[in-house]
Amino acid sequence: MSDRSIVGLMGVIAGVLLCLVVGLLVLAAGTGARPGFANPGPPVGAVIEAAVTEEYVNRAFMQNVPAGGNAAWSLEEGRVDIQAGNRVQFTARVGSPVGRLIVKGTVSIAVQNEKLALHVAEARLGTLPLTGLLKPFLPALEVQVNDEANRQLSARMAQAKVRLLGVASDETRLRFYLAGQ
Amino acid sequence: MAAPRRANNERLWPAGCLGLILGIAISVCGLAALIALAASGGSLPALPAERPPEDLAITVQEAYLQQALAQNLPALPSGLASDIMLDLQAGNRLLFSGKLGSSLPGLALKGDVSGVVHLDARDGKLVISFSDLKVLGFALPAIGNTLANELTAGLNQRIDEQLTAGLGSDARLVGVTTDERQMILQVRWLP
Repeated sequence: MSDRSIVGLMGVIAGVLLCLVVGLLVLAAGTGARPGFANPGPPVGAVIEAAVTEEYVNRAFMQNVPAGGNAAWSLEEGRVDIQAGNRVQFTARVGSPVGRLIVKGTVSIAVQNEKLALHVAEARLGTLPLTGLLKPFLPALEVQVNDEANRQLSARMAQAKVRLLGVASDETRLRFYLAGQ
Repeated sequence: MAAPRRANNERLWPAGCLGLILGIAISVCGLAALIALAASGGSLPALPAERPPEDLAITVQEAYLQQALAQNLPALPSGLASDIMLDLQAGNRLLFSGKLGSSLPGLALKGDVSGVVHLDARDGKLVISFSDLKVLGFALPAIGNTLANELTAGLNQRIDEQLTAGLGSDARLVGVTTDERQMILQVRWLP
């Protein structure tokens, strides 16, 4: 084997090792800490409880998915699984240039200052953790989701003359606690 | 002696760099393939097998009904009744009592009024009706019916407006139940 081949081979090994280290660092950054979930009861002063079923949330989720068209990335199908402890798990099949990918995640739901506060507690691309990468790469994602959710909710609540005090969940329903304005 | 070695080293550098780039390219392709493989695995969980009877269940405490009534009564066309108190009962019944201050044509009335409100879900809407209306402790059909008709029309319209405003025009009320403390409205949205 010539010197040139040996040096080239060493270069290949160095490149592979470099990618391996970078990949592991990215993977470690993506893992993030699994948050604990609280399950608060009805807040004081709540006089109305609106319990939305998981079946309806799934229906609404798919009805509101924008048509993919010819876009390289498109949401093809999704499921929402409401769980006890103010959390919602989502699983979505996304069409991409490299094929169909499965995106999974958990969103925690709380109420702060009479507004919904949604937080992506966990996100995965298949089995690969992405949670820690969301903030640096998609910093506006949570803000946009929260803004849209609160815009729709506040429009409805203003018309019904109620305000949001709290939220809780069990295995099949999301329960919103409301009071008169 | 040193000069040929330096020349040899300089010849090897491009090979090393090429190897490094090749190594990175191989790793990136491998990682992309692994990511695609890992991300495409798994399936979507199945939807709940049974469809619940409602999409949304709204549980309203008696206290809120009282508050809502106090806010909405002045908006009613009658202006007949005031100081209305409500008492939820099982069986979709709502007892009410209050003060009557009416000036029907040729007849001025003041006194207590009481009755029963019946709640029902019909054609996707909450429909209320009155029975056992008593004025000054007597069942007075003429006055009672006038009061009931006016209250029924005003309240049904008001309730329909509120439900449509809060839930959208696609919402249909599919059931209503009451117990001593609360009223539960079952709502379904059109698909």
